[in-house]
Amino acid sequence: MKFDPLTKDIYTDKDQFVKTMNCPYKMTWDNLEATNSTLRKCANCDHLIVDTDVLTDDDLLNVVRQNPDTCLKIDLNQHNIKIISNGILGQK
Amino acid sequence: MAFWDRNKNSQGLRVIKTARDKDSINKAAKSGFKPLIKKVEPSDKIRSKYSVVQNKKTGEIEIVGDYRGGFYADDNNDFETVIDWTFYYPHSFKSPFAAYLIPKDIKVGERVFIEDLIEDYIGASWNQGDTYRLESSEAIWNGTDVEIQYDPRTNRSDFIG
Repeated sequence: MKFDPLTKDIYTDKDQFVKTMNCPYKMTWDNLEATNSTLRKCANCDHLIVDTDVLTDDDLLNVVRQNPDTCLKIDLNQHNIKIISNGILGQK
Repeated sequence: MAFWDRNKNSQGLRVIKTARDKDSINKAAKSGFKPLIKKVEPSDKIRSKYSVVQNKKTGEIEIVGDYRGGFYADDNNDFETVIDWTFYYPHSFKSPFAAYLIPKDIKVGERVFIEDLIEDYIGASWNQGDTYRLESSEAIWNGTDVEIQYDPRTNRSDFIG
């Protein structure tokens, strides 16, 4: 799994685009209701948030394909992720 | 998704929009907002790193952002490092000033939600030294300015979305 913290884009290790992270409520993991160790629920939109720390690339693609609105949690320090920087950002 | 009022955030606070160029600032002023003008000043506390590696056969390059090895490790003889690890300010704003669009009916002491911060605060940091801008924050209108309610606990390493 690859993640660009500047664009919030997630890719698989084979550079397949997964999704762009966006939370209109600016929620944090601690704000979410724990349902089990890898899932939390958002009180604002009823979405489940999946902790990607436990997902393989195939798992990740399956989750997002089944429901493109699935929210994800990514930690920069988790073991199964590589941080990428495309170095170019669109101007605001 | 549940109904979401774009003029309020999840805590019911009024959302303050940001205009980032002259035309949008003047348009908002004509619509009745008071534009609170601020300089866009990059902070040296916000930084990302990169390294550039180049394929010695094809000349193509890749940009690397993570110290953790892998494809571009030293044992991959096809690539050589042409720019070593370098930290830089990763944002580019087209205007050197911007404005918070303050509603005319705002009350002194009103707590608001600023959707697009002009100032640089650290919103996330990584144990490899990279730090990322905080995008949004609550603030309090004191009659002349917005006092950003920066909470260092928002400096996290995880992202939701």
